Amino acid sequence: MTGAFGFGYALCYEMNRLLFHYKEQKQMLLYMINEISFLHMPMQEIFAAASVRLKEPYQSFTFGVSECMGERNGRTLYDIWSAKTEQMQKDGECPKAASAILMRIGESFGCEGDKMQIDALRLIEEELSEEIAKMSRENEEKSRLIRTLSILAGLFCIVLFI
Amino acid sequence: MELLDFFPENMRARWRQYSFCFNEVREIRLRVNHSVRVLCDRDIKLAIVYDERDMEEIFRYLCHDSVYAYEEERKQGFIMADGGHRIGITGELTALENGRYIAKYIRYINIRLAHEHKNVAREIINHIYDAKSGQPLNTLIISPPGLGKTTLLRDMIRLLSNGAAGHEGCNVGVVDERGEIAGAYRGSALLDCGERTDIITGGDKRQGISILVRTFSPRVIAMDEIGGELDAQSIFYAGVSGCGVIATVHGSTLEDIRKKRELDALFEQEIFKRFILISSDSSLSRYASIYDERGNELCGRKQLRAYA
Repeated sequence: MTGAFGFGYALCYEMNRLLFHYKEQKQMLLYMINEISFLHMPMQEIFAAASVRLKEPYQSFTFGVSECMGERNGRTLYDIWSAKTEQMQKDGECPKAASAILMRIGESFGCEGDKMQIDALRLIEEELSEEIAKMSRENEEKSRLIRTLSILAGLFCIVLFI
Repeated sequence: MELLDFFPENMRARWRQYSFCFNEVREIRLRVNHSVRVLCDRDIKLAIVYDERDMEEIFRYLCHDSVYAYEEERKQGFIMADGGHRIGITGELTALENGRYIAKYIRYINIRLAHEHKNVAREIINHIYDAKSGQPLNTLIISPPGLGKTTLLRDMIRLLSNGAAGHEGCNVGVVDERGEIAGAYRGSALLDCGERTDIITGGDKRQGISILVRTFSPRVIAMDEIGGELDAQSIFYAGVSGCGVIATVHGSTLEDIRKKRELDALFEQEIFKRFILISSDSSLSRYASIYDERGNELCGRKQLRAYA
């Protein structure tokens, strides 16, 4: 039974981890979209405000991007965003698939109008929503499978001992 | 702050060849495919040329990679940078709804650096107080572009707010549409406008005056660059609400201003009790002459200087 649980845990860990990152990224995107829609806030301020609400590692990530932008050292938002994303992946704080989404978010910045910028972010947010829904379903199915396997393994052990 | 701060990293190396004193630079003129010019006490041509792509990149950088957030300012042909520096932008315009335009291709950028010159109004502030009541009088500052009317206005606001020439300080409301008076950046004044000053950035004069009158009880309301009929109406509203008004307008003489039909009503009603006319000579020294509502000169021409 322990073995089955171990197997199940290993199977679900990566998926849950990715799911957490996707959910946080979606949260971040929704925050950006709302701030742009209502207050037309520039990105630097949005990141500073978002950093308070997001969980780690996105809290440090958005705060770091905002700080770097505030330094006005000549680096563009895309440069800062890409460097921070790569660093996060290198440090093992973000799975590869989640890093790829972050990179795409970075590429979507720099639109000329509110609506364009919101649409660009919304597109990624919708994809994330679909991915989250898909993964949640898969997660549920896998949990069921693991539960069944665990019960079968338990029964097998009981039969074996008898 | 340095001049470098206005440019993205890949363009900074060429700027590092030059050593400009930030406080002496008044303007940086960027014109597509032409040499950059820096205006200090003279016009300096640099060996730097930017093409179309560079201009777009500079603009994007100046907008902190958030071009969408500057859309409203962009429609008015400028954006504000950290430090209250006003950046004029133009090129090919495209029509928007409501008869407004926006620069589609940005090809000309004029970075006007805001510098604080305290006490430039020290020698003239006494003339804008009423001798009997000691209250500030409605005043109009008249000047051609680039002679420092906003600088003078800012210092007058500061002196009125803090108190000067033996007068107590009073609440001053500032309607700073372009953020140029207070060097406002994201709503915060970066230049000293006095300790009893409330500043509204963005919006328009009418809206700003309405908010100030209803909720901030200012003794004086200050605003920059009046011109339209709506501005005149707003000044009337401030006047009937019991507030003094200090404003600036583009012009070279009192007659120039009197010819502006949009401001006719203000002159007919003798709303302004003082006119300050700024002029300059060939050595670029600036002078102020002060007139009353009938156009009588109140004192001799005074040189505008900053005192420590």
